[in-house]
Amino acid sequence: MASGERPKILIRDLNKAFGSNHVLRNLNLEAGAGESVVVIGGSGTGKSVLIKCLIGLMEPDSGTIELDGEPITGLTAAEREAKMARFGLLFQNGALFDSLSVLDNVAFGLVSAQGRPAAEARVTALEKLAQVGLDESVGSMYPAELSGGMRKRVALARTIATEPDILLFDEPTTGLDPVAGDVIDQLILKCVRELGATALTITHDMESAKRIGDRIAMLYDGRIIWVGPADAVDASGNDHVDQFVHGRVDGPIAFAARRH
Amino acid sequence: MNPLATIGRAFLNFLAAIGRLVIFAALSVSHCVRPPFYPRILLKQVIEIGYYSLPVVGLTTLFSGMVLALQSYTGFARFSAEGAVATVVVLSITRELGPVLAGLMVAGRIGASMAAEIGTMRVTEQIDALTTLSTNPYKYLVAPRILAGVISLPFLVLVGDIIGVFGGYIVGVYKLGFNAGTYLQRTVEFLEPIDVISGLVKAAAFGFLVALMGCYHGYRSGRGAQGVGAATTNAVVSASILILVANYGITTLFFSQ
Repeated sequence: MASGERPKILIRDLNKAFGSNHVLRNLNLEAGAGESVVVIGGSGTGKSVLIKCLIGLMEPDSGTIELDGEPITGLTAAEREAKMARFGLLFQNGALFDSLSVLDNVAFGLVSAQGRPAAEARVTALEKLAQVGLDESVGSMYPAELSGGMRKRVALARTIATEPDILLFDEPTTGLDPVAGDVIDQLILKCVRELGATALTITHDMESAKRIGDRIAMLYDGRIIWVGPADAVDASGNDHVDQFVHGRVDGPIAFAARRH
Repeated sequence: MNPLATIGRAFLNFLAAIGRLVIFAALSVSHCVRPPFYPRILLKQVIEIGYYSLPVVGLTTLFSGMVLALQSYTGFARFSAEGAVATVVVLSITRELGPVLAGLMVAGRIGASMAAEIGTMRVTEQIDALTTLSTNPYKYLVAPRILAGVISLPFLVLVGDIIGVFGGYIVGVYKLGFNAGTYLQRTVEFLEPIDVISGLVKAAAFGFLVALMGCYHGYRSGRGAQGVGAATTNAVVSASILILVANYGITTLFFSQ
């Protein structure tokens, strides 16, 4: 992000605790318009909590989140719903609606968020399915009939269907084999570039992080401890980042069983 | 550990649970009367609750009516009041057994299914996905189910009443030797509109309770299969208890002198 430019997303001093478990501690992060930022960190370090606070599924205990300079924390339900329409979130396991066909899943946001007629929404949904490499025949299938990779593609199609200007990806390659993971990464890159959207991805898959991100931020102990260009992550000079990137057992990161 | 503190904590937890349920119920009802509405989901739920529960409710009320006729006859014969069998059957079925049995059957069938379905949606983040797609889960998931419960149960109970009375008629006429015409005459002779209406009001209340408990426990389901399993059990048990409690309350409203 160029200095002086107003960030698209600005997170300041964000705190979130569950009882005595302080998951986020004065977390600061920003993402510029059209930028792809990847947050890396171990399991249970609060990456998903960060994304849930960002999209309004959880209310932070303190701190602010701004979107184009306007705060999006502490809003009423109606105000939050209006802001939510600008976000698209790809859930870790897809979160496709079991009771709806693939086509209805992809068209869902077009009908509910944008109020478009069902027939028109289905035509757009077919286009989005094609965009993620799925043909028309998949449209009539149900999520339970799809493989893990196909479910991710459908979920991605649903995420981009409403053409949001902020895309959030929660562990997009988790549970996929390396080839399928690479395909999803390429699709994410393509969709983000085509939409010109700002993307925030959380992952612990380093290959994926380097492919998707313009910048990478490391979350540890509830704080962002390092931020830098994606191509600099292998030589960050930060012991925590080095240990995580190279997957070493020995180092400053101690394994701890966490609930979140 | 201080026993008083333990009791106090348990009491506070109980009050908190009541508070959560009341807030959930108030939010759900408010979303039932505010647009947008989802008529297709409502229709699907009405068919699921009203139509697919017909066999189980029909069988339950049929055999209850038959047993009631038989028991009334053997009991009343002790003081030569066998002639009251038809009246006892119709009043018991319409006022009490029809709505309570239908409510309990639907609690087992539909309450469990609602809790499992919504609980699975919670665990697999489908409810969060609804929110991110600008859809209020109360409106999309809870309101249609509650409305369908309130609409469908009276219909089910009405059919169950007819089948239950018919069960009594079969036993009365073909086993106990009553004259068919006399039995039917005795059935309608002392039956008043309030008897049927009170049963239908109960049915609507029970439909509300079954759907509310199914949705509430599913919505607040814990993580994993164990969480969904617990939600399902809690939905059925709490709905069954509330049906029996509400039954007493509504009976008092209609029939206490």
